[in-house]
Amino acid sequence: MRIRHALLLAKTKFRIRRIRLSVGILVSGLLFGLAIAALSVFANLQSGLKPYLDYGINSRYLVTAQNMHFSYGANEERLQELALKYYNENKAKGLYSEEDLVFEYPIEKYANGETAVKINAKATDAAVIEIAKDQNNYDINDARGLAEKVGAKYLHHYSAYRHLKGDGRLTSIISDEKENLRPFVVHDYYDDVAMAFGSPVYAIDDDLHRLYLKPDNYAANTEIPVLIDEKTWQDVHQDTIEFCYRDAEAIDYTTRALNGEDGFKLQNTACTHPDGQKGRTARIKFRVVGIYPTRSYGDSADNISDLVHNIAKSGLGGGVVVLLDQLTAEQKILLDTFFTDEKTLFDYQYNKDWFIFEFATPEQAKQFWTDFGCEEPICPADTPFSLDKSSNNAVLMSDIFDKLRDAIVLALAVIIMLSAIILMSILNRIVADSQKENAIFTAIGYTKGSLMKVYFVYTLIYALLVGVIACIIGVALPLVGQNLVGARISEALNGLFHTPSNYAIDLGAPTIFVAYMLGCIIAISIVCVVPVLALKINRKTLRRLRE
Amino acid sequence: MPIEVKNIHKKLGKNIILADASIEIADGDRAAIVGPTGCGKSTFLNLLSGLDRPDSGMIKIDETVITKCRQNQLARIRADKIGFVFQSYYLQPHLTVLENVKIPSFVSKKTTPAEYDKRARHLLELVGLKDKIHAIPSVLSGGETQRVAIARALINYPKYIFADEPTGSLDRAAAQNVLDIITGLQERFGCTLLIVTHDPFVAGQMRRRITIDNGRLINAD
Repeated sequence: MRIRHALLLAKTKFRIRRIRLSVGILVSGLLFGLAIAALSVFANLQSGLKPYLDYGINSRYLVTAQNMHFSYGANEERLQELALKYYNENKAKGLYSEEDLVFEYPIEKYANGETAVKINAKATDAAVIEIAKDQNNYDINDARGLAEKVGAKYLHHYSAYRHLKGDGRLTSIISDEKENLRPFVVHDYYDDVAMAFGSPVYAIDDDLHRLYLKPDNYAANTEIPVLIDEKTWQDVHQDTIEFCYRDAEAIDYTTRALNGEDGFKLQNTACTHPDGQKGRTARIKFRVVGIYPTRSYGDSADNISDLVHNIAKSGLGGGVVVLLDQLTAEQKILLDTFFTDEKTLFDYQYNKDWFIFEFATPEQAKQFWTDFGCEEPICPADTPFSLDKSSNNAVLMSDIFDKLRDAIVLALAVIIMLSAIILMSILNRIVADSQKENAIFTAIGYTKGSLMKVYFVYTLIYALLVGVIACIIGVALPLVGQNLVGARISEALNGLFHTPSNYAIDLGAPTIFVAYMLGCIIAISIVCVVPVLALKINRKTLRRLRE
Repeated sequence: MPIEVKNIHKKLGKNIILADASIEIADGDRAAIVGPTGCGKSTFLNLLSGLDRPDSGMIKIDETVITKCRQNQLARIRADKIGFVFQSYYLQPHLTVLENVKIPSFVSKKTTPAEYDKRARHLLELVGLKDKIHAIPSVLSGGETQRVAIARALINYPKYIFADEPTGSLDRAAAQNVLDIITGLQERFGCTLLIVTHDPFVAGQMRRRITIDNGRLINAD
């Protein structure tokens, strides 16, 4: 039988049980339409969210591919090596491509003789690593200008001249508002952390006797928040430390401390530091805010990051506390020499990349971690003060998407089952109503196959009608959703991930799921028609002629 | 080719419809199948057309032993060689008269659709419904509807016309009209006509009378 004849006969069946048929088509169309809408929105959300997550990820580090010998000349090879290492790591993760890696140095020579080495901002998240040759003419504006020029997110600038200048602090804080850069700067050694933003940052040496303080930013008698490793805490287990504060340090930093205005009190008792220097006893009260597992951080840059991240996640006021006995010799900062012997200062050489995060305020520190999709192995799950998953937006998003996907799959299964039941019910009714007609057709020479062809065509027409309704609903709903809430969602995500305002999600973009669901509808319909017809059209039907 | 029925036996439930029945119906014959209600007249017609199978025995139509054919073969035979006219017409209510007449042609490949269309129009003209080819059955009278059914039965130019109480729903005048048309077309096309009827008026207009009596086929001219 030709298709057009089957079509002609199938059309007559649409006049049977019209109400049931119409309801069936509408309900099935609505269900599938909702499925298309849900799948499309889900897919658009997933793909739309990626730039937000990537933005957070790309904001993570600044490779401070600096070297300590800056006063003697930039070690470009070392810089390149470190930047390349960082780049390769992130390229493996799919975050960067080859065009992101650019080495270009020296970028500019300033009138004052400074040179700068630029590592492409995108590859390293670094802005400018300015290495000044002239120690006395370090100019932050040069660094900023270069940072803006390369479109960097962050500006890392540091001052190793502070001890020369006497106040030990950078002259400004790079912030989003002022510089259109991220509100934090990454440093790679503790003194900068200590010195940078006036946050209570401490580096405690291995015998807990050396305390490098930022003296100006905490009130007297403040309990100093400390993160401490488990073993040390077991050994120490006290919240007040008395140590010998060397007079040499006191000259630089503890003017107020001497006056008792700082968080630790210098006693009037003289003491001798283990390294032989004279000083005064200081007592400081700690508030242990977190204990992390004792582990050897070894030489691995990741392990250092691990340490640092664990500490930074505590949400302390932008500060980092590091117990130096957790570090290898290479990783220890010879702060003594730093502060006391400028000649040996730049002898120390960092062999590994390691990261420290420093924020101006505790709130910014906490916010950073909500933006930061902390993943293994950088942030091991077993850290005792691991960031609560609920405040890790990337993990939270991932959890939500997993649950949403599962819910959609389940809903889809229910929709398919319901639609199949509806269709089979309609077909059952129609075949039952057509028993006599089927008998007549058989009598005049129609085979079972010919009759089934008619019902198949009928079912395909039904499926197409359902599909049209499903497509209309499935395309329209996401568009309506986008108009109603799309802007708000984008705004919320921008706030959540601190992304630029031009980042946006489009919930209404057409997706491949329209075609998938149409195929699904047709497939279900064909599957449904077979058992119905196999049961109904048989030889018993012929006996109805007698009736 | 004659219709040959040999020693067929058919039981429906506990009732024996036909018991060792045999008969031969010549080509071009015009016979009425008569008998009391429930004697098995329609069953006999169903057996002849392959819609039902005898419990035993042989039925041969147009040199084909239909009792040995598969369902698809029987359907082919019915489509190409047998034209059915039913008491209740059974037209498709949502198709036009012309489309209804062409329904049997949808599954026959004797000729082209264009030729079938031409044939259908000709048949409708022969049955006097030339002006109603685009009408739907609901606007036709009983007699007109039956005439459409007759035209439908002849669309494939069958060798046999099996009519099961074709005038059962009609009044006398309309019945006569239908009978005249059937017999006229039967003679025109040279078909073998078998009419199942309980109406002696109809049976009287046939050349032969086959009576089903106690499971046997009794032939009378």
